[in-house]
Formats: sequence, C-alpha cells, structure tokens
Amino acid sequence: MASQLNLYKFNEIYDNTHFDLLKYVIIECHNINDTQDIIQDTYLELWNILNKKELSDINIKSYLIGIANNKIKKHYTLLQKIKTISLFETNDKDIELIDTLEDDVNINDLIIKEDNWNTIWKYIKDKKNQDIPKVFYLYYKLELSIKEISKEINSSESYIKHLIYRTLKELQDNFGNGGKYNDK
Amino acid sequence: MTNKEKLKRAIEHDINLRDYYNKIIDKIEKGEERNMKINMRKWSLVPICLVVVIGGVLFLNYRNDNKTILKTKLYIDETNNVTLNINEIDSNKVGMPKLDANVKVVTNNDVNFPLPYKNGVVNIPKDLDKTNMYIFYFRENKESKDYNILGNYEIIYSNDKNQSINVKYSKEHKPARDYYFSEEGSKTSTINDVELKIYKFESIYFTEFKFNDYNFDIETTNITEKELIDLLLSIIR
Repeated sequence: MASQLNLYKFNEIYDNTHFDLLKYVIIECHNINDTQDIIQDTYLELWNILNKKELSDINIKSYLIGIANNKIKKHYTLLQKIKTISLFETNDKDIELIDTLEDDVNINDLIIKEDNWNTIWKYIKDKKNQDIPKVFYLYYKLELSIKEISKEINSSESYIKHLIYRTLKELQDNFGNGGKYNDK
Repeated sequence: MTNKEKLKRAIEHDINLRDYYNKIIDKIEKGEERNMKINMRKWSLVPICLVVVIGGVLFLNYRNDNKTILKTKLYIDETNNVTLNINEIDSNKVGMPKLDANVKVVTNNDVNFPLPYKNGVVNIPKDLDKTNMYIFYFRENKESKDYNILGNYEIIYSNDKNQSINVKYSKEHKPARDYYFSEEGSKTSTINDVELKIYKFESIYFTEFKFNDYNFDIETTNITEKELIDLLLSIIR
C-alpha cells in the first residue's frame, strides 16, 4: 500500500527516462551484453532512493545517468576493462577488408540466405570490438546519422563508416552464399 | 521486409525495454515481499518473549485467530446521519502488496480530468497541498501488448509529511487495488443512507462504496478519523 505512490513516481520516471538511459548505457558500457544488468541495477537503486527520500527539484535524467555511471564503473573490474577495451580486432584479414571495401555497401543489398537476423545480431553483439554493436544499435535501431554517431562515441566519421561497411561485408561473407554460418 | 527492418526487429527483440521493465518490477516485488517477511519475522520474536506474561490473552483471542478483522470501533453522528464502524485489520493477515505489471498508470494533469464529486467540490485537509492525477489502463489479456482498456481514475492529494488521500473511481469497474484481505467479520457503516465498509490498518484508512454512479475506492495515510469523515461527508451528500 505504502509503495503505491512510489510506484507511480517510478513508472513516470521510467517512462520519461528509459530511452535516454538505454542510449547512454549502450554507449558507455564495455560490453553491450551487460546493458540489461546495468539498466536494472540503476532503476533498482532509484526505487530504493524513492522509498527513502523525496526527489524534487532535481533533473531526474541527469540524476539517473549519474547512478548509471557509477554502476558502469562498479560493473567492470580493471582486469575486465583491460581485456575488453580494444580499438580494433587486429588481424590481417580485417585490415585487408577495410582497404578493399566499397563505400556504398548497403545492408539491403546483402544477399543472406540464412534469414535469421536474431543470430546475425548475436554475431554482431559478440564482436571483440564492442564499438561494432554500439554503432549498429545507434545506426540501425536509433537511426542516427554517421555524424551523430561519431559525436556520441567520440570517434571519427570514417571510423564509424569503416565499422559498418566492414561488418556488412563480413555478414555477406559469413551468412551469404557459401558463408561458413550459412552452410551449417 | 527489408534487411534493415529485419535487423532492427532483431535488435528490438533482444534489447527490449518492456522486458527490462517487467524484470525490474519483478525484482522490486520480490524485494518488497522479502522486506515484509523480515518485518513480520522480527515482530514474531516479540511474542516468544512475552508468551508467559500474556498467555491468557492469547488464549482469549485464539477463537478469532483466522479472522482478518481484529475489532470494530463504533462512531455515531446523528446530526449528519452518520453511523461508522471502523474495522481494524490484523497486520499479520494483510496480503502482500502486489505491484501489478498488467496495469499501466499514466500521469494526467489535464484540466478536463473527470471528477467524481457531485458539485466538483471535496473536503480535503488544507495542508495536502499536492495533487496528482492518474489514469489506469489494462491489457485485454496477458498476451496483449497494448494497454488500451480504461480501468479507473485516481487523484492523490498529498504533502511532504507523508500524509495522503488516494481517491480512485470508475463508473464501469471497481478500481484496481494493490492489496487484499478477508472481509469476514467486518461491519457496515452508513453515511446519508449509503452503505460502505471502512477499514483501518495501522495509520491507513480505506473504504469502498458506490455513489453518484461511481465505484469509489479511497485510501488515506496519516489522516485523522475526523478528516476522513469530513471527506466522506463531502462526497456522499
């Protein structure tokens, strides 16, 4: 009974903040697979705070982002950070691909026999370079422009383009005709 | 469907804010349930210490052990045609709070928010200086994604001193509740010939009744009995 009022407040805050918070967490986390845990911990902490004190006259979005920021810091040990932060997958094949890619690769031009995009998204999410799923989320889900994404993740536009085009080419190679995932 | 749309759908399927919300609410519910159990366990230690001293009293109450209503307090005000029976609820028999994820509650401070009061006026203590208005929506069934069925309205009058009056109402349904208890043994009150049942649980009064074509469900926290009667008299007149 006593928690009902707080639940209304919580729902209202959730409705008003979840899109922005999700975007923030996706951009700032080291692994996109941790998004749900961090979002969950952030809102559970908000719930505990709502039960202890009145949150008035504050910018609730900034407040939540502050909580999320702490959760992200706590979520990753130093060792995990060292293991997961990497600008590029440094193998020769990838570098070669970047050099030979055309700049006008379009996702809709891909001929992918394996019509299971859940598997493809999982493949993208599990990339060692976690900028790839982040960029794909921002580009294909939120439909931000390359310019907007470069500002959000603080990288050059050409880097973003390369990530997209290289990954699309990889999808074509792996999930298209004769691709190793397509043959399974 | 294009590849772009297929990928977008796969992302939405995986990073799904509705699932996130449901899991958060589930965790909150489990936490609330655990806290309540801890509180009850804490209090259950007290009778172990007192069992020798108040053994006789416990025996006298034993016959009523399965009833939710501990006792009923009578209040009569003939001038205003009021006969109240305040049914006090045993705190150990109240159901766990249920934060129902099948309900969507939307804030609505529209000037056209429908009021259930006859002349649009209600007697609320002056120090309840905040007013928030909500609309409850339900889903047709658990599989449905859209919360498009109008459930009930709610107005919450409150202040920073943890005092509040929640007035829920609907013409079509009994308003949604987040608690339950047995009404066995409870007594009925009358105000201006309208029958209603009033319950008291710690510092909370709650009542439900039908008046002026509306189903009302009212819950007050840290409000006096006099303030409750004034409120009910201003609605039922």
